[in-house]
Amino acid sequence: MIISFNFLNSFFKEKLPSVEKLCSEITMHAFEVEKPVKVNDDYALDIKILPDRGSDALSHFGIARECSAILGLSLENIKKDIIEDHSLDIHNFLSVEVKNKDCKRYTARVLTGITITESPKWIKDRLKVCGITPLNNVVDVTNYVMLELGQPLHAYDYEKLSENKKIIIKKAKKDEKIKTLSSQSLPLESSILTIRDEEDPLAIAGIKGGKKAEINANTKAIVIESANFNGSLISKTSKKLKLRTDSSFIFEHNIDRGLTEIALERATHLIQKLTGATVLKGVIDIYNEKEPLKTISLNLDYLESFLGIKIEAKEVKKILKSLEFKIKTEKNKTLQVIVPSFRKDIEIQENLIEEIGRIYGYDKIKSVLPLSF
Amino acid sequence: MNLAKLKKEVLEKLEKSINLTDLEKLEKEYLGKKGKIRDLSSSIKNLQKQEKKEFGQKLNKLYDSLKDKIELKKRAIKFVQIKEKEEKEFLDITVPAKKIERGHIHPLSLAKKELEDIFTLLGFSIVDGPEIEDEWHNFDALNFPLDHPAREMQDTFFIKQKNRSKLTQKQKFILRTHTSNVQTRYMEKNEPPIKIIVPGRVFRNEATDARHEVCFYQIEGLLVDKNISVANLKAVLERFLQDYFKNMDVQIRLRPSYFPFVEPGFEVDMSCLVCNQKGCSTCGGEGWIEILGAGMVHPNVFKNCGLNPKNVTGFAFGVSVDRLAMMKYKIDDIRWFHSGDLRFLKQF
Repeated sequence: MIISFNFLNSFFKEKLPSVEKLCSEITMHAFEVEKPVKVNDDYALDIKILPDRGSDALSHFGIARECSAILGLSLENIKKDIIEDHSLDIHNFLSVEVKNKDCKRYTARVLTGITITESPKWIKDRLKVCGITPLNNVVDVTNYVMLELGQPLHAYDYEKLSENKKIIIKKAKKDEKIKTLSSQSLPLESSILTIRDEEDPLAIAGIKGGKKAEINANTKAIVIESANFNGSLISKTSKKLKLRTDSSFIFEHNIDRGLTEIALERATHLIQKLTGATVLKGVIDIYNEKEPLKTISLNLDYLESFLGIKIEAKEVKKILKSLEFKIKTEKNKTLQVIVPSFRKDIEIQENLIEEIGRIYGYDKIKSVLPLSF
Repeated sequence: MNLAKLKKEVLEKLEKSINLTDLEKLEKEYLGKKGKIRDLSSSIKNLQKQEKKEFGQKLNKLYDSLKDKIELKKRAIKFVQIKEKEEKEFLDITVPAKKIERGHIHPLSLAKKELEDIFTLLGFSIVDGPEIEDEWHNFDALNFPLDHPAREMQDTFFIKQKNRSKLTQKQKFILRTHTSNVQTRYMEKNEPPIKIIVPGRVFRNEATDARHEVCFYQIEGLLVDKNISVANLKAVLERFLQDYFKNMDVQIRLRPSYFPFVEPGFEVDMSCLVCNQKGCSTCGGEGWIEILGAGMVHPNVFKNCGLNPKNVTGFAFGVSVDRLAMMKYKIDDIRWFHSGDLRFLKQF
């Protein structure tokens, strides 16, 4: 994934180290980074995120979280404040029905009084460094937040939805077609999940938006969708349609269901700030299948014999906390560790040992031949 | 005809004859059945008795003397010819025999043999496995989830089968993408301690370039026992690289990586031997070169092979033999190995 150095810097109050030093730290403790490429006053960093970390690290914030743990720098809060118009309740203007289990969560907001313009330079610059062509303020914000938080978003023109203003998430009809944003006509089939109004498909869920409710220069009111879909369904559909997008690539990795809300608030905040839009009161949030937080026990003796190096308990806890793990209890050299919701890859004790080992530094482990040699 | 004149004529011709064909021609012309001397002898009957006898004797004498002279010259020519032939075909039996060109070991075979020797000395057994493998042993048993992006990390050649989608994972065949398939096959049938290497061919469905081939050689290593640690992994890898490159200064470093069948997974870099870590074009100025992938065996792999992960730990690594040979012999393009170019091969 391409990461903008300036974008990354914006998450920290203190300055990050030089770009070379940063790349080498990320390479040694988290992900391989290619040689940085200078783009105007910024650098594009090509960071190789492997499939296990696709669920939490395919974003600037995800990388910032890693940098914070590696370098011991604290992260700034991301601004999400919104002024809602309390006289307009979203539920009077939009309804959503999820009719398929592969849509794990669907959150949406409605904004009105939008003026479509170009985005400010800072947004355009960051999009361009990451290889995305700027279009207009609304579409750019949805892309910007995807790059920032790793949650794909989609914006629909509210006025183009069919009469009852109802969004339905369900499988496509047999022999149905959709005209995509890039004006390509795609045949759908009953295994493909769609976002639709009562008449037509509006988008191929998690992959690509349709022409019907496209944002254009005349758009006045929008629906912002921030949803979560089953990764393996997106992967199959994307292969079937031979259509791979930034969005489908991210969804294939099964991202955190908790992220939809945060990204929706962030995008709403930015659009309101840029356009002065009126934000309707409330959020539509259909979240049927919540995932409980995982707790994993970590035995410190096992950690030591597994890595072949003694790391003090204090240090172990510090590292875990820097990666946003929580320590529930500590008894008989065993920690009960609560895994943050975004770390889908952490399932067993050995996963925790990897986290501790890599942040502590594999270079500190001294070679020891096995006893049988 | 005057006999003296005839004799002179023959002798002159004899003088001019330089080879056996000339001589045979001469013999036929004068001494043959229809030769000139026979012609003369038929004229005897016209002579008187006394003359008859004299002439006959002279004629016989001439015949004999000419015959002798021709024979003599024949022998002389034959002798010279044999002499010439002998000289031409002289056989000096003391000259050493001409060398028969011998075949030579292919650089990949050479590297494979050296690596096998190194690991055998370290106590590893050499194990073999199938190149056409089922999806279970190549992927599922190695903790590659179905429909997960991890499956796409290795571009795979699938074997065409009827109704493939209806077959079980153990019935679907592919060309193995790594020698790690033998990890699972071996652990299914053997109890720890396990200490094996698996040299063999692997196949990737990808475009070739200076660093990628659709078919290359890999050596898989697997060590499973009680209390095997990352420190042990580091030591064994360091040791084998030092032995292979015959350089005790070789160092390695581990970087975080991901392979579904290990946890943690490492990318292993080796100190650059070209510049002694001062930074050069080979290592891109880094002083380190990516050389192999490794990690601690994932507990799910133990489970899939019927071992209890509570009792054992272990490490595994996979290294491309082609890459090691390229490093050792400073070969700049992996495609040389299968090029069949003798200018390349004759250097080994």
